[in-house]
Amino acid sequence: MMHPFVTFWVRALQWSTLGVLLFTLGCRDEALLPPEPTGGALFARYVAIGNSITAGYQSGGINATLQQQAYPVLLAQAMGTPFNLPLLRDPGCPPPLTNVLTGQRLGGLPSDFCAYRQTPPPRILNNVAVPGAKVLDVLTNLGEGTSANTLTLLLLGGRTQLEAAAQARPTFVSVWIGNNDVLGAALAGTTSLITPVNHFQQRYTQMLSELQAMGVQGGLLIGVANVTVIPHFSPGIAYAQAKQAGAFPPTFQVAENCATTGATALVPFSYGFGTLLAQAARGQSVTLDCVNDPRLLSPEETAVIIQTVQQYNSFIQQQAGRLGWAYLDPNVRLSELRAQGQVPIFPNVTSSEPFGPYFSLDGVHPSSAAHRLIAQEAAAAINAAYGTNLQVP
Amino acid sequence: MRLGYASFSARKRFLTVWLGVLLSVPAWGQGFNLNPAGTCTLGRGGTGVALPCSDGSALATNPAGIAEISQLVVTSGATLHFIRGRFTDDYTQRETHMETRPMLLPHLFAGARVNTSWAVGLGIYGPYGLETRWPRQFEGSFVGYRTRLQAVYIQPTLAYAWGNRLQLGVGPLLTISTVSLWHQLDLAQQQALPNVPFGALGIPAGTAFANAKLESQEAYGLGAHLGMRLRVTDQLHFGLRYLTPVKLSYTGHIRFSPLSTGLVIPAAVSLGGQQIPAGTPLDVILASLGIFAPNGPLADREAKTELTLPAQLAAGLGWEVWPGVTLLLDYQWTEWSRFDRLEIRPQNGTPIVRIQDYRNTSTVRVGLALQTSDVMEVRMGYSYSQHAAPSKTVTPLLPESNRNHLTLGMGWKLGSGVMLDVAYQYVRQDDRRGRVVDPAPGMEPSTALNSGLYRLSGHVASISVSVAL
Repeated sequence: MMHPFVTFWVRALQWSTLGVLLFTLGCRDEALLPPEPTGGALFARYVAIGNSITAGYQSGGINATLQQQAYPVLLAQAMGTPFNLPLLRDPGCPPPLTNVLTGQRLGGLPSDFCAYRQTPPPRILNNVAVPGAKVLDVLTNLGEGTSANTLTLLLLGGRTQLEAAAQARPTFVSVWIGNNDVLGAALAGTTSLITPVNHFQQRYTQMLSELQAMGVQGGLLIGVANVTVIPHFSPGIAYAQAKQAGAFPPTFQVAENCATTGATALVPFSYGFGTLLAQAARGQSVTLDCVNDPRLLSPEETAVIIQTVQQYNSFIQQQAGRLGWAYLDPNVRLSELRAQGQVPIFPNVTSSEPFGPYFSLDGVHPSSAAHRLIAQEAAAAINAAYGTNLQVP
Repeated sequence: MRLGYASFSARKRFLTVWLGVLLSVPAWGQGFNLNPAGTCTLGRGGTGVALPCSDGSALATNPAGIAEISQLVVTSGATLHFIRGRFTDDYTQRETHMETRPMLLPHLFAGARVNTSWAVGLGIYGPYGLETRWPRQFEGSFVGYRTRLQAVYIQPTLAYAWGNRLQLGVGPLLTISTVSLWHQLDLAQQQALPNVPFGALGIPAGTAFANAKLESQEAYGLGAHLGMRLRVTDQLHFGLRYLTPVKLSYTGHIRFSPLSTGLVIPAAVSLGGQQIPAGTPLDVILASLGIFAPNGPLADREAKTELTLPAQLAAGLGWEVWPGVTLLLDYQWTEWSRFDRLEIRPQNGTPIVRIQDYRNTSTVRVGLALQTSDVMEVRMGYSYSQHAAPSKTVTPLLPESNRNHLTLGMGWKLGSGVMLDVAYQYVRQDDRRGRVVDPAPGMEPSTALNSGLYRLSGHVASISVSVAL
């Protein structure tokens, strides 16, 4: 039998050991930590940078419903990662078009109506894209050549896309920017508005450098769309055929030079329908001239735009390769859809889908169906680059 | 000069200095409960309800204990707290560290035997205290980035002994306390136009535009501390004490000062009929609204708040298991449920209400005192404290959790009745999920707002010198 003193010390030692064990083990609990995204740690924090397409702009407007149908949202769902949007109040800012010919918008509201943002705003934004943004606008909101607008304030509150992105400490980014560096020129019918390739490259490089400085582990770069093949632009010959088919009122004339040229000039819908047809409908006599009208995109100008887009994309692809990021060329699928007739050459204004199933009512921005297609293509590109298994249904 | 013969004016100056020090230094604790005061007590893991230390700290651990004092004892010391803490955001995994700095909390105990039955004492100590400091850039700074509660208990005590079996002690309490709460205001939540907050205009959540500093003047409260000790056998002792709640009514000022948002309006906009050109700093627009003007919504103003420092009920056992080996066990119940809300009432303003819904807590303490020689005692202890805050109110104000304390201490008799005590305590708090934002006005807090993990640990060191005559 042990001496009572020894017995006491043995017991004290036992209790002390138990106490120390509880002390050291009882304080850390893995259940306290948030779950990892189902797509893996690479997608822990996904941020989308871009312009109107990435923001979810459709049919000349944007609201919460459209924002939630944008391709980054679908990608984030596939990644299983949280994705906060700067959601706008319904009916939008501005409300999207409901009738392409009359220009009627959701709620019967004018094009300058803005319903502001939903509140309270999320602490961190994952979709920092802003309609109208060029590459320069990702870097700065102020100064010559920037395209900041009301939505820049409403969506980002005066921050740049990079500043808003940095707050999320992104592990993965998607970047689809550059369309507006050529779209403005195409819509205005002048190549002078194209962002020079060297400026584009310098700004794009700076953007990527700043993203890398945030600790981004991976990314997807999406090439610039060939804006000359979107259904907002129709060749003059299509107008001539429509005139011949009696689609236009007598006051709307189409010049001979539209019908005779093989590779005719491109007529923006906003000009052909929005300006000329509207004037003709009011009884004013108008003529579409495919050679002398500066609002049209001449074949030479179209070629310059196409060549610029190719140079942009060559650079973007090169950068993706340099960084080991995924790259997606949107023009491959766009060309296929065009060839399949899914992207109409001339709008069918009596249809509920005047620009086909893949473009919204403005003929510029992809429809919700197209966003799903883009998300699927993007997921495939990411899977190929990173060996992941993202699935967008 | 012997303290017992110090002149009244000298003693008054001494007390004044001590009070000044106590009110100028911050502390922290469970809830905002600190360890029982005294270096000797700290070394034993905070135990001592049944067998208080002989240095006069019985005034804090059990007022009945001063009946054990032989003639006169005066103990003076200080406890240094060094706390580290951080918050890790769930989503960004960004870590924000608390601003740490060593914090010193002094204590003073004096006791004297009047005759064989009666003893008197005076204790100045702080059973409650709190200070949390976060950087202003912290996402939780809108809840609070600097919170400080200081409370000094001044406790004269009278104790009576019935033979050598039973001792009773009672002491009225005067509590002097101040509170300060600094936080930032989020522009996104302020109204830009009727029913249109700045957040609806795109201003990001967490855009600091104003600093709000609430500083109270000294508040005074009264209470009492009662204790009982029973010698069951020569080896076994039992003790019980009760510290009443102390209600404090604070009056102070809220001072607002503007902060730069750093934001610039990126495009020309029309706001409330006013055209704002692109490139206009947001600060210029805010300044033009006159919100900090004397009659503006953020003019400095008087404010009032109330706080009740909770009651404590503690029971303890002391067992001299072997000559020179004493095992101590204490249990403490703290009535934290009194801290159900923090309501700040600004003059001519909407009250700021922070729901707390604290729950009553239990603390268990185990201590061991080993008389290793005639001049040295070695002490050790462990204590475990439950958290008082429910999961929905773990905030930057006080990100508390269940807490473990390991302590080690020693006492040396230096001769001529002088004793030197030292103690060290390692504090490890369980990690706990919490929030960095307040619920929307009128809404109850919820665990759904919790967005990260608070981690705290700390070191506490204490030293005291006792003079017994």
